[in-house]
Amino acid sequence: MRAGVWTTLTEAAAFTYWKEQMIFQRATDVGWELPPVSRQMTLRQFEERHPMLYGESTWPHKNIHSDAEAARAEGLPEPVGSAPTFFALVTRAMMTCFGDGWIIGGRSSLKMIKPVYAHNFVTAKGILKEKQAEGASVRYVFDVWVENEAREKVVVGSASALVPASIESR
Amino acid sequence: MTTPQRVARDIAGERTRYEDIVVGDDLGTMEWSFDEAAIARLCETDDDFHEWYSVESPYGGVIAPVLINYPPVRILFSRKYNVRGLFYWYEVENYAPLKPNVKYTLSGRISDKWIKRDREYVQYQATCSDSDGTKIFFTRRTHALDYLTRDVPKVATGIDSGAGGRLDDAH
Repeated sequence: MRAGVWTTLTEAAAFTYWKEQMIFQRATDVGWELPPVSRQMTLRQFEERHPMLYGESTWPHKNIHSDAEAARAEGLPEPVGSAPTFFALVTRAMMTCFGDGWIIGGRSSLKMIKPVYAHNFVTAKGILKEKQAEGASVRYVFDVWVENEAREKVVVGSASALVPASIESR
Repeated sequence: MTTPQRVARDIAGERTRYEDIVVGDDLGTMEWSFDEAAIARLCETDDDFHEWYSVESPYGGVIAPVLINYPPVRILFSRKYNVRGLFYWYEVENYAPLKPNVKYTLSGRISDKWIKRDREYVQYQATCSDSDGTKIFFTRRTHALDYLTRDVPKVATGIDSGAGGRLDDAH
C-alpha cells in the first residue's frame, strides 16, 4: 500500500489536518453511523448521465436509463437509474469522512439488488462494523447500503478506509 | 400486451450469449485519460462535490472521484462483449489518487461467470496503472446479462446496446 498524504506531514500537522478536513472523530467506535447522503432521483438525471460521461455517440440515446420503450424491451417496467449513481452516494460519504484514507487504501464492494426509478428518493447509510489493524493504519470497515423512500434496500455491501494508527489511538 | 422476450440482437449486432463468454479471456489494454471537465461532469451527474475535486487537493491540483473509473472499464469490456443487462456488483480498491491529464493504462480479463436464480452473470476485472507502472486501482464488476430470467426466450431485437464505445463501428 502506498503511503498517503500523511507521510508528508508531521504528526501534529497531520492531526490538525485531520481535524480540519474530516468530520470523522477519533472517538468513533464500532456502531458509529456514516452521515447519510440523500438524493431525489429524476428522469432528467437518468437521461443526461450517459451522454455526460460517455459522450454523445458512445451509447444509444434510447437506453434503459433514459427511455421507456428501451426499458420495456429489456423487461423493465420503466427506465432505471444507472447503478454507479447510487454507489456514488456511498463513496461520497466515505470521501467526506476519510479523505486521504479513502483515496489511498479505500475499498468497496457494492451490489445493486433492486432497481431505482426516476421517482425514488434514495439515501446511503452505513454503520461501522469493525476496525482492523493494517500496517501503520487502522482499517475502518462499514456495512453500507442505499435505501429508497420505502426503506427498501436497493444497494448493499461494504466500504472501508484507512486511518493512521497514530491518530486513531490518540 | 406482448409476451416478454430477452434481447438477442440490437443496433450494434448480436448480443453476447452466456455460452460464448470465456472465463479468463483477455479484454486487452486501453489507454485512458480524462480532463478537469470530465471530473466536473461526473460531480454534476452524481451530485458528488468536494473541494479536492473542484479546487485543490493535497496531491497537487484536483483529483477525480473514484467512480470516474466506471466508464473506461465498462468500455474495455464493451469493446469485446455486447452485454447490455444490468450492472450488479462493483468492487474497487483504491491505491492512488486519480489525476486529470495523466495517461493511464487499463488491462482486464473475464474473471468468472455463473447462473444464479435463473439469471446469467459475467464478471470481469481490470487494473489501472500509470506510466511508471504504479497501480492506481483494481476493480471487479459483475453484470447480469438480462433482467429477464433464462426461461424467457432470447429472440427479441432491442433498442439499447451494451456495445458502448463501438457503436460507431456498428453503424
